[in-house]
Amino acid sequence: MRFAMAIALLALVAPLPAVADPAIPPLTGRLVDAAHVLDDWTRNQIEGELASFETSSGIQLVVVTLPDLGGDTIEDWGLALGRGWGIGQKGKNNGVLLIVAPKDHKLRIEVGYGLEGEMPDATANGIVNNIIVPRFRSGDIPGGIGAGVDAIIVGLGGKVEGVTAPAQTSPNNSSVTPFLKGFLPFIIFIAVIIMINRRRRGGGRWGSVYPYMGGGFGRGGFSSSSGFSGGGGFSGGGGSFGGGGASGGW
Amino acid sequence: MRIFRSLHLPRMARAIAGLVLLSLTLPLIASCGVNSIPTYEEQARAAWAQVLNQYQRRTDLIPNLVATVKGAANFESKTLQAVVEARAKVGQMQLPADVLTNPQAMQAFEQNQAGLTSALSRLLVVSEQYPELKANANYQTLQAQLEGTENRIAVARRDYIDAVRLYNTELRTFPGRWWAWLLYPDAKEMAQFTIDDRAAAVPAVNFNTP
Repeated sequence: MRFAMAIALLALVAPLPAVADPAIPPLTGRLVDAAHVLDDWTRNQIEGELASFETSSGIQLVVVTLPDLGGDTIEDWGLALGRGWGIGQKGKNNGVLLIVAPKDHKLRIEVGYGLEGEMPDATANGIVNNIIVPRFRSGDIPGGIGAGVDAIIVGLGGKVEGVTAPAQTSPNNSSVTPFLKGFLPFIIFIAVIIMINRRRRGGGRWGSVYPYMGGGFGRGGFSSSSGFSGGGGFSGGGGSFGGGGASGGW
Repeated sequence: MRIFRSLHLPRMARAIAGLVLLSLTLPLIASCGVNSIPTYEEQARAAWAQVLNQYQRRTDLIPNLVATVKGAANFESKTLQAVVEARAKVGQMQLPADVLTNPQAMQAFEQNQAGLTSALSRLLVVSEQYPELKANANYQTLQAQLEGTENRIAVARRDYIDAVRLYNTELRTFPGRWWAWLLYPDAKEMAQFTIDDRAAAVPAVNFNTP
């Protein structure tokens, strides 16, 4: 009888689906361009933004492009990458991933446990569908990723200076117009984020991110002051994820 | 203690020897897994609490969703009704205290939640047919929250499955088995999820029949 019960138990447990754990690429920096869709200029620009955002806020924001989802969902990848790399600080769980799979036309913003209040699903969804997807649809993958990173940073209370276009240095044009041109996308992002957020709950979020701005976290090691170079020595802080965020496709 | 008595040591020395012996053996005992069972049990219970938490979060979203969808002109009432009924079923369910070690109760719980899962995803699929609803900002927010919650449920279930697998394995294998027999006679294996949430969630929708 006992033996039969043991067999029955084994039979019950054995066929459970194994946890989907895609073979995750090595974490080579804050930007892992495994699908090779970004040029050097964009890569440096984004890496610099990610590094200075982490220095100012303590939040680890990592961008990944994947060559292939390998049959798993982008949600599976988000969880496997976030937990596998341990993005975000241990205990604070303040990591965010922007995952793009150009071949599968899928993307996702994966939000760590500790940031689900600052970046609710609806906000992440707004960034995915209103800011990134339209650019991806028109074939502008680097532009979409750049704009998405800006929007995530602004949404989490960070600051974004001197925005995207490579041809931003035009010294002979000394009027106000290029200045405005450069900042227009930035202003639009803020407006969109505020609008999305107003709709969800009655504002008051800008104050709530300030605790993150104070710095003074124990973890050194990865936030070196230079930070513009290819992410040398960057590693996850041991943060965890619970499936927050939003996905989209184009 | 008989050993010490036979050595004719003074009381004090005996007590000290006993303490030394205890302090030497305690870490040994701890390192060979005497704490594993309660530790794993706590982890599994925490994972279960997270599962309940996420399901509750979903349940809480539904009244808002139903109200928003109702606002859309002549929304298919059958689909809406199915969601309302499935939610009521989940709400009425009384979880027994021993649900974790009671496979029948666990299965009933799962069945009700799976019913709600498929009713909800059907609602989302049907909503695709209503452009004005899709353009509604309130609906978009709710949809994003609902999708996020479904994903969190999937993660919480996965974590629970892993935690229970660890705990049940500890109870069944050496040395956990012996420790359970010796110290934790009440420890019982926990019920696993038997229904695949994602498989249960795939809705069959036929737009041709009214």
